[in-house]
Order: sequence, then C-alpha cells, then structure tokens
Amino acid sequence: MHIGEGVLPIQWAAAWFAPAGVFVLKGIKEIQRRAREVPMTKPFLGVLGAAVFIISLLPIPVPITGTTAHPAGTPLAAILVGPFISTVLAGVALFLQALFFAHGGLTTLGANIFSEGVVGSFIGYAVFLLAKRGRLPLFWTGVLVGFLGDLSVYLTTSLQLALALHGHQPMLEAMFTFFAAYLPAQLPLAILEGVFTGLVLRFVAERRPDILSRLRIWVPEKGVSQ
Amino acid sequence: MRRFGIIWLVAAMLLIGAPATPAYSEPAKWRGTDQVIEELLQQYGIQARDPYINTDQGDFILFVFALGGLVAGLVIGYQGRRLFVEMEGMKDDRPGPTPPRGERENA
Repeated sequence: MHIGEGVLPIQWAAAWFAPAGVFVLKGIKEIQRRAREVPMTKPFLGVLGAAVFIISLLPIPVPITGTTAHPAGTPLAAILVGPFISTVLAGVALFLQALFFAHGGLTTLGANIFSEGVVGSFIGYAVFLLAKRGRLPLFWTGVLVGFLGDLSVYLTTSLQLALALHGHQPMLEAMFTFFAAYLPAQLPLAILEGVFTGLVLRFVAERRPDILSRLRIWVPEKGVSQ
Repeated sequence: MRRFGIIWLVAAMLLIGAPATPAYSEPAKWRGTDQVIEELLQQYGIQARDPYINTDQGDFILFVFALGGLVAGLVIGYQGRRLFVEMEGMKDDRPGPTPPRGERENA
C-alpha cells in the first residue's frame, strides 16, 4: 500500500495530509493522556510501534502469485492501543520507511498514513467492537480484525489512486482495477494477518490478561473462550 | 487449534490465490505488490520518482533492511521483556483509562 514518491498529483498528495494530520494530532494527545494514566503504556507503545514498523515493511513471499506483499499491522495495534494511537504508530513507521527504506514517499505520506493508519486502524477497531458485541472468541475476533483491516487498507489505497488518476476511466472501474492487482497477493496475506492478529491476542490474553482487562480490551467472562 | 490454523492458512494460500491474473501466473520474480502497481500505473502515464534518500541501490537496501530489522527487534525484545517479564504482576492502583462511551453509559 506504499504509494511511491511522485505518484499522486501534488494537490491530491497535499489533500491527504489534512485528514491524516487530524487523526495523528488526536492520537498524540491520546498518547500523552494514556501515558499519565497507565504506567505500562510506554513499553507497550515501544513494542507495538516497532512491530507495526517491521510488519508493514516485511515482504512476505506469496508462492501462488510469485510476488511479495506485506501486512498492515495497524488492525492489531488498534485493538491494543486504540485507533488514534495506532494511527500515530503507523505515521512514525511510514515516515521512517519513506525516508530510509525506499518504501512510499514523503509527498505521499499523508495518503499512506490515511490508508494504513486511519482506515486500517478504524476498520480494525470497528470490526473488533462488533465481534466483541457478538461474543466471538478472542482468537477469531483477531482473525476477523486482521483480515478485514488488511483488505480495507488496500481498498483505500486503490481508491486513493483511482481518485487521483482515473482520468476518463470511470472512477469505480479504476479503483477495482487497482484493487484487482493487489488482491491475488493480498488475499492470502490478509488471512495470514488475521491468524497472526488472533495468535498475538491469544498470547497476550494468556501471558498478561491484566493488560487486556486494564486497557478495557477484553475481560474474561464465563462462556467466552479465548 | 494452532495446527488447524496453520493448515487453514496453507490451504488458503494455495487455493484462494488461484484466481491469479495471467501477469501473476508468470514464473516467480518476487516483485513487491507496490512494484506491480507501479507497473500498472505506467498505463496511466504515471512514473514513480526515486525517493529523496534513495537507499534502493544494490546491496545497500539489504544493509538498511537488516539494520532496521535489528533495531526493531532490539526494541521489541527490550520493551517486551519489560512488559511481559519485569512488569508482570505489577500492582497499580492508579485509575485506568476512561472506558469507551458505551461502557460508561452501561456502567
């Protein structure tokens, strides 16, 4: 989903900074508040920030397509620290990737933060809340969150490209052209991200259930398995 | 459960990836999906520029990726140890974060 340097026309590239910036600023305030209230916030953000950075940079081979693709990582982060803070983590990761890792671009940073940070986090978080309301086991909640969050990121990138570049082609047609190019590699990756998200949630629930209950993520209840 | 998950994942990667387009059915080249999209963008007359700091030159990118992986791994290991080992069982009496609005109303 890393839109490369110079791909988006400058007005589109600039426009995406506005919504992304709003969410990042809100996320920074949220981090300051959370750090005052919960002492484990800083190490937790350190682990999650590094994890989002490495997950969203990791080129995983997809044998069936002969290409590599990377997960998003933000749906998991959104569950654990909330969607606003997850957007900040994605912003830091994407900035470093654009600057030093030839992934994405500085001019397209706003668009990339919006797709991976904002959409990946908020869709992931919304799916999490729905699954929680449906009393789904924690592992399967993670699977759904990772799977749908991942695909939503790539759908948004397709939309961003189509909005800016569709020209005379109908916008929706252009969007699905881009999404169809992503899909063969990204669909297996979305499943992988779902399983990974579920396993991480289950690991945290087994090792430090207090983290999940303290962060109001998940409180063990009778009849709801992990 | 874990074994089932792995079997499910492998089966999904083999079966769901099957509707690959002809371009994807070519011999494996391990291009990134971002490169695939950049090639598609050429049909729209768009060419991505080189990054401002272009580390994608020969083995230099391997060095940068290895370094990035090392630093991220160190952070995860160090902070993960603090979180899962040193802070395990830590009692904290300070109030927790404000619960989401729905939970506040239900409380």
